Amino acid sequence: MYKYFISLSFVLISVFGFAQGENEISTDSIIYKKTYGLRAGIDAASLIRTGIDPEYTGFQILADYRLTDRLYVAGEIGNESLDRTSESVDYESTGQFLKAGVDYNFYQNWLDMDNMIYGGARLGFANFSQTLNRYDYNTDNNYFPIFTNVVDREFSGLNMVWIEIQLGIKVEVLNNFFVIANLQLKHRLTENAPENFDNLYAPGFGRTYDRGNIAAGYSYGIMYRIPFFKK
Amino acid sequence: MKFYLKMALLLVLTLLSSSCEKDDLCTPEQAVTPRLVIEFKDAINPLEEKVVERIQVQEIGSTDFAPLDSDGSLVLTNTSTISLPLRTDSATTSYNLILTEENITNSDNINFNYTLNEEYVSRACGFRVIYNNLVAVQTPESSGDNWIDRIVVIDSNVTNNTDIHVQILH
Repeated sequence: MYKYFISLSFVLISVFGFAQGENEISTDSIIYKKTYGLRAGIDAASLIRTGIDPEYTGFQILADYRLTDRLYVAGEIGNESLDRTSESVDYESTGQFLKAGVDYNFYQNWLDMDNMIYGGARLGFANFSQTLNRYDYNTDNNYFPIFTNVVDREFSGLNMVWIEIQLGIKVEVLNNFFVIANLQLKHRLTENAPENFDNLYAPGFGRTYDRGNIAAGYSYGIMYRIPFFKK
Repeated sequence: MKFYLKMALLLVLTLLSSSCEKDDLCTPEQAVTPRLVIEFKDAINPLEEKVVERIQVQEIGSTDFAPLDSDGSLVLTNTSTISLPLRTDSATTSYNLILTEENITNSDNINFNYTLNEEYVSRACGFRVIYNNLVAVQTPESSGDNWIDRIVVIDSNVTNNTDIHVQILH
């Protein structure tokens, strides 16, 4: 008995469903124009890390420019310096980087909102130098005293090229004033590594791994939009 | 509202991911500073290997015995190969090879001379040393009771622990 009741209710629901689907939706005649302009800002992540991490110094400028409703050209420029002390190797890496590419907004804004949940693609270039400050020899015994080499060996003219994908948000918190955050996944294409040493940290790319050419990063900051026109 | 929640979540995630930057570990599979691998051969028939009854090795001026294999054994009995560490801070390592046979101890001195070369391994292991142009010189003894008859350098480039670098004929 219950079985039939449940079946019947399903039939009724589906009928109601159809009935609703036949309601007419009147199209909205109000069109919200989008603001086009240049957006520029600074990366707070590297500023905060500069403040709390004594081994790190960094500064980064962010910018994008709207091309269409959803597509932006975007880029970052900055410099970074990392003076890292580790168990076997102490090194310093310092230099500049430039990232250029596009952002695509996946978020459907309501009314006159202008927020982004976006995916970005970048091509990154870094130009830097590394200094080897100290290193140990890898030995399988300690019969002889461990010999630590304190040097000042500089490798300059190093570079790296990578592609990067970003996933992030840009939220308009005040008029023309945005808060942004993103995650970055990078894949190294080419590098100019020092002879008998390696690129351990590249500005904009981050730390490297001995196996593989993948790196990850993040950014958050504030941006201001200079409005040019509305369309 | 849901949008701002997502934003907050993303921010927390980025902060978390930044804090777990794990340093690579230096594993035993990675390249290590090689040891000098010595093989004991028969002085009369150099093609035949000849074991030593009991051997210990000591650097001149040191009170400790040198490790003779990867396990760090300081004494080996009835063995035909030993592998000795070489100094990474000097172009010479001077070893006394102390043989005990039928309770008689006989110590012979050999100087191993080489050129040091550095090789980068990894961020976790740092560098290693390889030894080139290896030369082995036996210190002559006036009494003439050397147990070592001759030293032959097989491979003058010490770059790994698997090749035999030196043969000692006794």
